[in-house]
Amino acid sequence: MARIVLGFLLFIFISGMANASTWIGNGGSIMDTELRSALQHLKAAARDVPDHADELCICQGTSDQCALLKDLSPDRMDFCGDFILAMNGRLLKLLDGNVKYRWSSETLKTGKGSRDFDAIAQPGNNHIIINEARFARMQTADRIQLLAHELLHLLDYKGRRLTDEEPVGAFSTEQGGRQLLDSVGAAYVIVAMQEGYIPLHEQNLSRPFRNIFLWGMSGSRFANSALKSDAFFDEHWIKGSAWGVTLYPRVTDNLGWTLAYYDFHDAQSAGKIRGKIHQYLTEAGPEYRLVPFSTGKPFLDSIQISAHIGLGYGRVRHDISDDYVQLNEVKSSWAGIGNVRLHVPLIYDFWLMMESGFAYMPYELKNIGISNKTISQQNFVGVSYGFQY
Amino acid sequence: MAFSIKKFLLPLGSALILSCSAAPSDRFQIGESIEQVDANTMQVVEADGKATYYAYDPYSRRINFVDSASDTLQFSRDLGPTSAGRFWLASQTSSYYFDIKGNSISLTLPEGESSQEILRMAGIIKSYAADFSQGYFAFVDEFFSIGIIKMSAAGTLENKWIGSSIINGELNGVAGDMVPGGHLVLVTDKGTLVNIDLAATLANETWSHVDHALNFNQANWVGRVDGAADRVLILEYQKLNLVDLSAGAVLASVTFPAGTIPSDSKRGQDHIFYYSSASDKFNVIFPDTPNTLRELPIKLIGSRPVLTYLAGQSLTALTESQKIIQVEVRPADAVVTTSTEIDAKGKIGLSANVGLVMYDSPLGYMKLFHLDTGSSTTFEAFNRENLQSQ
Repeated sequence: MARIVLGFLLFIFISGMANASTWIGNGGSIMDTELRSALQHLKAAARDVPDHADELCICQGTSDQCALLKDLSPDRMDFCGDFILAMNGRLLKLLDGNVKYRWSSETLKTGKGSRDFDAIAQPGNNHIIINEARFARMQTADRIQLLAHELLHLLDYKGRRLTDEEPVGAFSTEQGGRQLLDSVGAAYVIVAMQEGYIPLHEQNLSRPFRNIFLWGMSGSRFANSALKSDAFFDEHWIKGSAWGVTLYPRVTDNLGWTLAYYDFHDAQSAGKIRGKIHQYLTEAGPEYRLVPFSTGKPFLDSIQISAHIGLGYGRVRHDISDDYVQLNEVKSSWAGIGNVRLHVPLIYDFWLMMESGFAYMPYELKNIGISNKTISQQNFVGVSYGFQY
Repeated sequence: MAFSIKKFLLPLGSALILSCSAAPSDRFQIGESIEQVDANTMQVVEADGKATYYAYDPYSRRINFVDSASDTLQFSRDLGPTSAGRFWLASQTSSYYFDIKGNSISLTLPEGESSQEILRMAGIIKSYAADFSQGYFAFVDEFFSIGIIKMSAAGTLENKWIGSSIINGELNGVAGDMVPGGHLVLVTDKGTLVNIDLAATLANETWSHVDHALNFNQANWVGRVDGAADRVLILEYQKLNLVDLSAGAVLASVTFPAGTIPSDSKRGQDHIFYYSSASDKFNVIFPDTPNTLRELPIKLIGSRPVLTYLAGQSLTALTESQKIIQVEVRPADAVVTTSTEIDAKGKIGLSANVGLVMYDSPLGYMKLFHLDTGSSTTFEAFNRENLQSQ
């Protein structure tokens, strides 16, 4: 058992390192829908900017973005608003234009310092590189602000591209560029909030962009008719539980690996004969997930569906007894598992999991006359918790 | 675990078929009640000093045979489900059984062969008597009609006939039993002893008999005497008589105290026993010689016998407190020599030195107690592969 776990962890670690290189966005990652959604919100806000021309960069609310804007001096507030009005049209064109977004699992740094960045714009080739782990942890408002900031680095202002480390107009400090673009991004977020595209405060809805999920479920496995009659089970379903961990090397990965332990423990009776079964197995194998919806509604857009197949090893014990005789036999066997899971977001990184699948674990207990060589259906419901490492 | 075989054979000989159950005494009938051989009881066959037990197992739908000499368990073929009013009577000398249901008697043959009806009475069969060594069987229905069957040693039907209980147009048989040598002994409502020659009866299809007007008072039970084919026991009101069949004379009698309710038993040697409140003892009455009766008082404190088995110089009894005791019968007294505690929640069979309990276990569980040595043999899980849907 220890060897199985160690091998599994080593595999994940090695595969994670191998996947450290960047990945071209706009399709293929579960984060793409988040990115697309944030860009859509930004675009919608940009379209509504003319309707808010008199109140841009002004906010008295409680959001983080409001807090940023509240700290602006009046001249910076004016400069911010004017900057938006001057750049908005081109920002809209850029949002419909050819910008390449790339996910990166590496820490983003520029050559000028040791600061870590959430994203980096490359004006020369219209690329925006986004740190996937940081983006995954962000609220929607923060993402819109970030994207607005980076997209504006790709546009010329008074004949040149803005950088973070330069004074710009009323933002006359060394970090003036960054402060200006952060304020502008915040202003777009406020417009989006005022128009109702995003909530003022997001609920703590669980998001799928985690790479470790710990889960536990309870459910049952179908007892086929031969097992029922030979083992004296009066019911169709054998109760059980399942525990496991699913690892995705990167938060943006669809393909991960699952290590699971299944335990079925049930006792039934048929007339005066009692049958008991205890079956447990450990299995491991790949798991592929999808985020199927992109509706703009956070709850639906967080739903995950995954499919898993695994190979494992386990043990079964059957007991048959009446008031005078007790028989039992134990056997070990390999096992195959396959299932589909639905992951429904709850809050604070907790998920509701529902699984339906099959298990095949053939065995023959010759001494007590029980054998099982059929594929059994099994269903589980449980909870998982996701986090990032 | 024992394994199943197809046939069950016992050696020929002057064996007795003995039934064991906790049923109340069987009076006013020939031989034993048919309920002694139903699915809820255990039968014992004794031959040459060896006892073999057999009982129908409803979970596997077959008869289990336990040979107490070799401590082995064997099985009949699948006999199908039992039902109320269905009885099994296994033969001693070959592998056939009588399957008795209602008024019908079928001959059930070994594995692979079907049952065949060989006799049909007008009424429900209530009792039976058998001389297994000679192959004579008498089945009595609710109208006291008597069906006689003669089987060959190979298990084939040789002859059969149904006669009325009214002998000679006048005498009405009310109780009886079969004695060795092919004779059926009846006692009538007028207290007459009727000795029927079965071979002549079957040949002529009319009763062939010799009568002795002994004027018994309310005679209701006939018992056999081991080793004496021309002796019978006749139980009448408050008295047991030892009778010479050939001479038609009462050789000895024992009268019970007033108010006594005697119990009869055909387990081992036929005998009568009763409880005397005056002496606080149990008295067992049996022929100790072909010409005399002995009344043996036994003191048992705190627990009455529910089953008794008498054999030669010993009495085996199952008591209410779930002990099997063995009593040595000595010329002047009787002493309890062994006492074995058992869990008697099942079908029980007794013989001189053995007790067998077949428990209500679908998977199969029996325990054979060797009373003289104190050892026991357990048979378990023998039904695992043969369990039938219930």
